[in-house]
Amino acid sequence: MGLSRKKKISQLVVYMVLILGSVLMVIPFFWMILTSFKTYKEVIALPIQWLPAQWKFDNYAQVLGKLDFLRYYRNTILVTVTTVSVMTFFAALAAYTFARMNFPGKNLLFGLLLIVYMVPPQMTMVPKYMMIVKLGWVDTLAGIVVPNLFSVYTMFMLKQFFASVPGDMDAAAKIDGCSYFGIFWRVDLPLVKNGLIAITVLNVLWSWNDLLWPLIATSTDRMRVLSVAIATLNNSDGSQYQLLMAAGVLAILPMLIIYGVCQQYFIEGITSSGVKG
Amino acid sequence: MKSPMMKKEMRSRGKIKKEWLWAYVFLAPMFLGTLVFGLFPILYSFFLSVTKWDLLSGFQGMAGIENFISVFTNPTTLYEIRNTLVYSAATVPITLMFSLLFANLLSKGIRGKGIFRIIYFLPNIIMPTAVAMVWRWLLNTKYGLVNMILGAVGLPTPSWISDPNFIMTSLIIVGVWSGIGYNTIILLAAIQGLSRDMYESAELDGAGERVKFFKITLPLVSPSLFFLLTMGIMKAMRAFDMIYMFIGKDPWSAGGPLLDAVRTMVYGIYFNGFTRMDMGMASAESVVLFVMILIVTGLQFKLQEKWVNYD
Repeated sequence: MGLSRKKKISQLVVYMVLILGSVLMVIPFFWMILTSFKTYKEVIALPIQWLPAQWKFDNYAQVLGKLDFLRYYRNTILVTVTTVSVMTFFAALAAYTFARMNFPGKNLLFGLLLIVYMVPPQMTMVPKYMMIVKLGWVDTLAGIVVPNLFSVYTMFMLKQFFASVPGDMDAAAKIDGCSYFGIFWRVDLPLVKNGLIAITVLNVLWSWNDLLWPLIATSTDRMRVLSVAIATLNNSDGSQYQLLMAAGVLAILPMLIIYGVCQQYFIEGITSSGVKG
Repeated sequence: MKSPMMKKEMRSRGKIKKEWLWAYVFLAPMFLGTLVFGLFPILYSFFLSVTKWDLLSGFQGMAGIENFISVFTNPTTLYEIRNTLVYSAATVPITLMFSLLFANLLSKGIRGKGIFRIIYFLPNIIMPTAVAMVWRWLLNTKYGLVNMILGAVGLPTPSWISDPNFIMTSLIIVGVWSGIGYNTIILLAAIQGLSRDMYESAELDGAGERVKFFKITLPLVSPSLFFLLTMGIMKAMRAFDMIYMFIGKDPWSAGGPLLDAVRTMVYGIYFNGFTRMDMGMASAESVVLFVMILIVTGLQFKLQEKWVNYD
């Protein structure tokens, strides 16, 4: 009797700690959304005004219209879609080759990629910037996208996925006269579909959210992406919190939707990155 | 006459050659791209680090180790080295402690585990610039929610982001908040991968929750902890977005003690390279950061023998 009561109390404590943690995790988002609907007067009201008097989309209209966020949206979508699709294709092709094919110099080439992977990309931002200046790529889509197309990390992850599925269908396909690319594309790639989706959603997230490289590679707002636009807005209209929060909500909304729809792939991608190390 | 045996061998040799060819074709984009945008910039930044190089006027002569001497003697870069180390040494262990707590609680067969997991991971989905912006607002001295709550319960209400004594603490708080979800999910997966038998036999021996946690869970998830610690420190040593957002674009005006309290090495590389346009100095700082990451990671691999359990 006493023991079960003690157990109940400890269960209660567990839930309370977890719920407290959850509240701390989501409160910033609630506050962001609430603020984005307020007027400036309500934002700086003392004592604090919890809810806006009227739920109006004025701040959103201003961010999208006057501050040109529609352009940043278009740019970000363009950058994310091209980066992730090409990057995943190159990485998958290389991953498949390392996992399934035999050729001289395999270990040497793999080792070289590993060495590059060890170096943090922030270390190379100065020379990379000088390269895109030479190529005339500053403020262009190519300048933002091309240096990021070669993800050794994605290749490692996909290689593990390829290695974990049986390869006996390759031989059968080969006898049927299927080309090497055909085997990769039609036989093996579908087998690692879940892993492919998992790594793709993580890459979409990274590409959408990345700040440093787009900040360096753009100097006007022609190809400016959302992360840079947010930073610029933060620095120029730092106290107009209702506008900042509306811009923030707009910038994170697509990722929230993707997370809502395929959160199991995020979890899967994260977990497999951790287990294999 | 060739024997059928030899014919077969020749054919298979032809196949092998064909496989080699296709392997190189498949690797070409990844490999050439990595050479051009990975390996070349690495070597080039080593070269730049021993030159005087202005962003606008280009090569100004060799500098030898001058840039490196500057990195280790300029007060600003010394602040950057200190802040990078302080931020990493504080954020990563605190994040891991909270994540261990949450992962351990989530593994206790509670209801709504999936929902908790979704909520805890939420901060990782959000653009770091947006995260920094929300926290700037939450931590606002006068109108911020945090100080509102602290004030209501009679606690001090510091100027979180405009006081040099507090801005690093604020940065660490936001860093911990953003990192808990990822670490919790990985540790939860690790804890759930452990066999229940051990816990059951420990329970038969009368072990309580604390004993089970310290004697079974902790040692058995130590490989995951080690992975998260090394990766976490590597990532924390490259912190940039939050600092850029907290300080603002114009470091000259923000300047002074506030900036010095929070500037990190990647911020310094960005600042030296793209604001001061001194590519030599920026590259020297990149090289120093790279070597520091190598040393810290190497040390962790050395120390893991003492605490990581690989049975």
